[in-house]
Amino acid sequence: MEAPEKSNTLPVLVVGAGVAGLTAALDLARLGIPSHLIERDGFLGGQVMRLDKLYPSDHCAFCPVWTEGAACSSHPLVTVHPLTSLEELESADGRIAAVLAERTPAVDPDSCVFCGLCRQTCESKGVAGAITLRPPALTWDPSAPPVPVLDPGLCSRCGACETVCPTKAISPSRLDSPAKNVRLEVADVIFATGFTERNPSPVAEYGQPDHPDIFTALDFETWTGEAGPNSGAVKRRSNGATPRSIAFIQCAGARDRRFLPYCSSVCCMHGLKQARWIKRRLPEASVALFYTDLRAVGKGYEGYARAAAEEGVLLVRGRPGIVFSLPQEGSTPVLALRYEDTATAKTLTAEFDMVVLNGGLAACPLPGESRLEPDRAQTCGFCREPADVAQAVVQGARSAALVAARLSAGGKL
Amino acid sequence: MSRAPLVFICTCHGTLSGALDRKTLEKGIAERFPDARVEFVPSLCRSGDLDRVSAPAGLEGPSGVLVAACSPFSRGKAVLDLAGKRFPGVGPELVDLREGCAWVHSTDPEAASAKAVDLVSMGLAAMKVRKRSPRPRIEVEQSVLVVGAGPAGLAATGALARLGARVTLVDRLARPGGLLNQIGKLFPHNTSSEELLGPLLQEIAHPAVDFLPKTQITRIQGDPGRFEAHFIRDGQDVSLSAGALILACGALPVLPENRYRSGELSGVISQLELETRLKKLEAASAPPDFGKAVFIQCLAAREDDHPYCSTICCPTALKNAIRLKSLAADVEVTILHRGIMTPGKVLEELYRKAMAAGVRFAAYSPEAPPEVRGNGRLSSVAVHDALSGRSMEIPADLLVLSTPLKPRPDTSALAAGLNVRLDNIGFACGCEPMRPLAAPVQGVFLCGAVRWPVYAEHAVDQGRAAAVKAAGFLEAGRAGGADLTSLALPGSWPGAASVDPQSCSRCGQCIALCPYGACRRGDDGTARVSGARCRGCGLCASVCPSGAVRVPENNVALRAMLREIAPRMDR
Amino acid sequence: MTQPALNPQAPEGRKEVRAALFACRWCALLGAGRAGLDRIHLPASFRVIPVECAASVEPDLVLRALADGIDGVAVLGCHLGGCRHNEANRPARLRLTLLQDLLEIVGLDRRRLLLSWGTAHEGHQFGGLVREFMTELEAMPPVDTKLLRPF
Repeated sequence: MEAPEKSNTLPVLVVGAGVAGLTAALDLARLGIPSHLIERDGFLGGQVMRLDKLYPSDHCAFCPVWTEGAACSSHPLVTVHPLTSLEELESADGRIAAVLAERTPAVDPDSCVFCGLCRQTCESKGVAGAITLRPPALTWDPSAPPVPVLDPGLCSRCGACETVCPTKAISPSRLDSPAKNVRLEVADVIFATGFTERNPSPVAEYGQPDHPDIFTALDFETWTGEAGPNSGAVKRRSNGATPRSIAFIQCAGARDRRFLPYCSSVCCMHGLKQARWIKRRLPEASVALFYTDLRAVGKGYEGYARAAAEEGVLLVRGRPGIVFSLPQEGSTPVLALRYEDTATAKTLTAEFDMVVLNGGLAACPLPGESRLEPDRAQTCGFCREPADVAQAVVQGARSAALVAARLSAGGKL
Repeated sequence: MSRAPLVFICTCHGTLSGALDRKTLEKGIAERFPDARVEFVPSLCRSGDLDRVSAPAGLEGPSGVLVAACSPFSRGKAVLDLAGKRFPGVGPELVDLREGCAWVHSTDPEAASAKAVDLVSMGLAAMKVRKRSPRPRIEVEQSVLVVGAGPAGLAATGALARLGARVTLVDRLARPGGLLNQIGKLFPHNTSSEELLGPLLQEIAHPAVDFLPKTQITRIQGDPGRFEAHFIRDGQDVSLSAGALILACGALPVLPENRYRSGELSGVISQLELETRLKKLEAASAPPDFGKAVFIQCLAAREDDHPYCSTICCPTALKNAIRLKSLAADVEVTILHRGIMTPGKVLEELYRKAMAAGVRFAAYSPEAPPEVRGNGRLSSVAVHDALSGRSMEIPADLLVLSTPLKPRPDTSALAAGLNVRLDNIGFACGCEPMRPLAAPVQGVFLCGAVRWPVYAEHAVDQGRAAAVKAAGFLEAGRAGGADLTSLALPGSWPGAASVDPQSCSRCGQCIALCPYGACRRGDDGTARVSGARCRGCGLCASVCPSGAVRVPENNVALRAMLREIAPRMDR
Repeated sequence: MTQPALNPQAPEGRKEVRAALFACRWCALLGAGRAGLDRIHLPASFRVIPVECAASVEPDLVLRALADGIDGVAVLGCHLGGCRHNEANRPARLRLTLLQDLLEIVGLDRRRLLLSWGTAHEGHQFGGLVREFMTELEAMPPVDTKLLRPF
C-alpha cells in the first residue's frame, strides 16, 4: 500500500464527538490523516453516554464508547476540542476556514485531582449546590471522572474554592470569561452533530410537560439509570414511590405532521429496552408500550421485541389520543391515557403512575454546510438520517473513507 | 552499584495523609521489600514533580518503577505517562492507592494504611516476576482480499484501490453486481440498479484491482497480516494470500416454496419475480398485464421458525407498488402487512409516497394469515384487517409474496476458520456495537448482507466503511504493527500467550477454546500460539491442565500478588 | 505449597476476613475506580487484582488462595455477550461454576467463590457486591485447609 499523502495534508474538521464523529476521527487518524474533533459538551461520546443500557445486547452503554473516546483523546493525530462549537465556515478558492468558539471551563479537567475540597469549602461558606461533583444532566464519562461543575447562577464568585484548590484547577472568574474564537484552515468537514431530544409538548395531547411523572425517553433513561440519581431504582418523580404501572408512548411527536413528520427509527427499540428493564426491576409493575408499527428492524431486534412480550411487557398497537392527570387521591397523583386498542377496535382509558414519551428526536443543524462544495462536506450519524449506534458508526467510517479517498487521490468516490 | 525497585507514592497534594499513614507505609514496605526505595511525592500527575526527585545515591538505575497513585480511570494514565518519560525503558507500573484504598476506607486509617502496604507489595511482587515478552511485530502484507462482488464488495474494493491498497476481488459468478443484477429500480431514490452499479464498476477498473470472477472460495486460514485463501477456479484449486480480508459474500433470497399456494395457482409470484417483470415492463414502457395486485409481507419472516425481520422487504414492496402505480395508475395494489417497517426519514417518506399514490394497506395478524382463493388461477385474497377490524375479500390477479434474505449456507464454513461468530439466524457478527464491521480477529471485516439484510445504498456505505477499516489495518502494519497487539487502547498490552512444548500434553483444550483461533496444533501435536491472533485474554493459560501455556505478563504475576495477601502462602 | 501451619483458630467474633477480587479491567475495574470517586465507604478487607479478562483466572489459583488463608475469591467480569475478548467469559463462567460445585463437594461453602458478570461496572454496584460478599465471608468460619489438601 502506498503511503497516503500526509506531509501536506491539512487537518479534517469533525464536528461532534458522538459515536459517529469519534469513529470518523479515529479512522482518519489510522490512515495518518490529522483531524480536529470539536464537541459542544465537555465529554466525548455524545448522546450514547446518556444511555444506561444499549439494545439489543442490554449491556451498559458507556464502556464500549469510552474505549473509543480514550483512543481518540490519546491519538497524536486527533486534536480534541471539548466545550467548542462551530461558529462559522468560510469557503473561498477551494480553501475552508472554520471559526470555532472554545469555552474555558471553570474547572480545568487536566489539573483537577477530584479531591472535593472546593465543594467542601463552598458548602461551609453556606453556598449550597453551587459546586456539584456530578452534573445533574448525568453526562458522566468514566474516562474523565466528575470534575466539579460550577453553577454560574448559584456561585457567589467569592473565590474560596480557588484558595483551597491544591492544583489551582478551579477559577470561578472563568465562568464570566467569553468564549475564545479560534480560526483553523481545514481540508474537509465531517458533520456528526447528532440529535437533540425534543419535548413533544406542542402536540396538544401530551401537553403537560411539567407533570413530574411524565418523562421524555432520555430523561427517563437518566432517572432510572444505574448511574442516575436513584442508582438504578425505579421511582416516581412526584412522590418517590415505586410505580405500579408505566406506559411507554411511542411515536410521541414523531410520524406526526404537526411536529416531526418522520420516524426517528431508534425509539421503538429504545422503548422496548426501557420497558424490559423496568419489568426486570419491577416484576410486579404493569408495563405497557403503545406503538404504531413496532419497528424492530435490525440485527437481533425482532428477537428482542419477542422477548419483551414474553417477559410480560404489554404491547398495544395504538396511539394514545390523550394523556391527562386524574384528580389526586391523597398524595398520589395518577395519570390516565385514552387510547384505541386497534386489535379490539375499542376506546379504552387506563391509569398509569408514570408515562414515558418516546419519539421526538430532531437532527441537529449543520452550521455552514451549504457554503461548502458537496464533496468537501460529509455528514454522518443521526444528523444525516436517524441512526442507532451501529448505523452511526458505519456512517462515520464511511465519511472517513470518502474524505480519505478524496485527500489521497485528489478525486472522489 | 546496585539496581533496586523505586516506589513513588503520591500524596495527592497532602490530601491522602488523613487516610494513609506515611510511617506505616514506609515500615510495612521495608519489611517485605528491604531493597525497595520509597519516595513520597506531592503530585505524580503534575509534570515536573518526578523530575525534582533526585535518583538515590549509589543506584545505577532502578530495576523497576512503581507509581502508587490513583485509578487508571482518573489520573493514573497521566501518572504512568510522566513516569515513563522520567524513567525511559523501565516500563513503570501503577498501583491505585487513592480510589482503591484511601477514598473507600477514609474512616479507617489503620486498615487503609495496612491495605496500602499490601497493595504496594502486590505491585512490587508482580513487578519482580513479571516477564515482559516482546511485543510481536506483525508483518502485514499490503493487500486485501474482498469476497463477494455485490454492491458492498464492489464499494469496498473501489474505496481500497483509491486509498492505495492492492485488492483482489472474487465472486462465484461471472458478472459482478450480486443480487443487484436481478433488480431494476432501487429504493429509496428510485435510481436504476445500473446507475448505482455503473460508477462502482468504474471504480474497480483500477490497476490495483484484480477481479476474479467465477471463483468459489473454499476456505480461508492463516493469520492477520497473512491470510491464505483457497478457491476453485475453472475446476482448479488456486490459493492466494492477503494481509486483510473483507467478507461481503451477501445473503440468499428465500423462495416462497409452497406457501400461499405458490407453485399451485398461477398468478402467485415472489417479490424477486416481480422485480424481473417490472424491469421488462419499464424497459418497454408497457402497462402491466394485470389489474389487481396484492402483496403479502413477512412470508417466512417474523415467525417462530424465522424469528427476524429482514429489513428490506417492506421498502421493496413499497417501491414496487409505486412502480406499478406509475406504470398504470388504475392498477389496484394492496399490501397486506404486519406493520410497515420503514424506520427513518427517507423510508418513512417512501411510505407516505405509496399512500399518496393510492396504494392500499391492510394489516393482518400472524394468527389469522390471509387466505388465498382461486382454482387453478388466483382469484382473490381474503384477509381480516387487524386495524379496522373488518374482514374483506380482495379480488386479485397477481399475488406477490415478500420473502426475507437468509444467510448463505457457505458463510458458516468461512466464518469458522476466522472465528467470526454467527447470530441465531446465521448472519455474521462483528464487534457490536462500536465496531460492527470488524470481526474479533484483526484484519477481518464484514460488510453488506453477510452481516444483516441491507439495502443497496447502505451496502455501499458499509463497503466503504469496511474499506477504511481495512486500510487502517494495513497502515498500522506498515508502521510496525505495534498498534495491532493491544485490544483497544494504545499502550495497554496484556502480553501474548506462549507454549512450553516440553510440558504440553497435547490435550487441545486451548485450541478448542481460544476465542481468536490463535492456539493451534503444531506438527508434533503440541499447541502453538499465533502472535498475530493472540490478544492476551489468558483463557488458554487458565484451561491448560499442565501449565504449559502461559501469558508471561499475567499468570506468574497473579500468583505473586496473591502470595502477598494469602497469610500462609509461600513468599 | 509447603506450609504445614495449622489452621489458626478464629478469635471471638471472627478475625478480619481476607478476600481477593479479580476484576476485569474492562468492566469491574471501572466500578472499583468509580466507588472510590464516589467515596463509597467499604470494608477494607478485600484486595482488587486487575486482570485482562475474567477468563485468565485459573481455577488452580483460586484453590491455592483458599488453601493458603484467603477466605473468599471473587471473579468480576463483563456481561455475558459483552466480553471484549470474543465471549471468552462464557467458558470462564462455565469453569468457575464447576469450581463452585467442586468447593461444595469437598465441603466448602460455594459462596466463597463469587462470580459476577457485568454487575460491578458502577460504583454503587461494586460497593454493594463487596459489602455483601464481606458480610457473607465474615459469617463463615475460616477455611478448613484439610479439605483442600489434595490441591
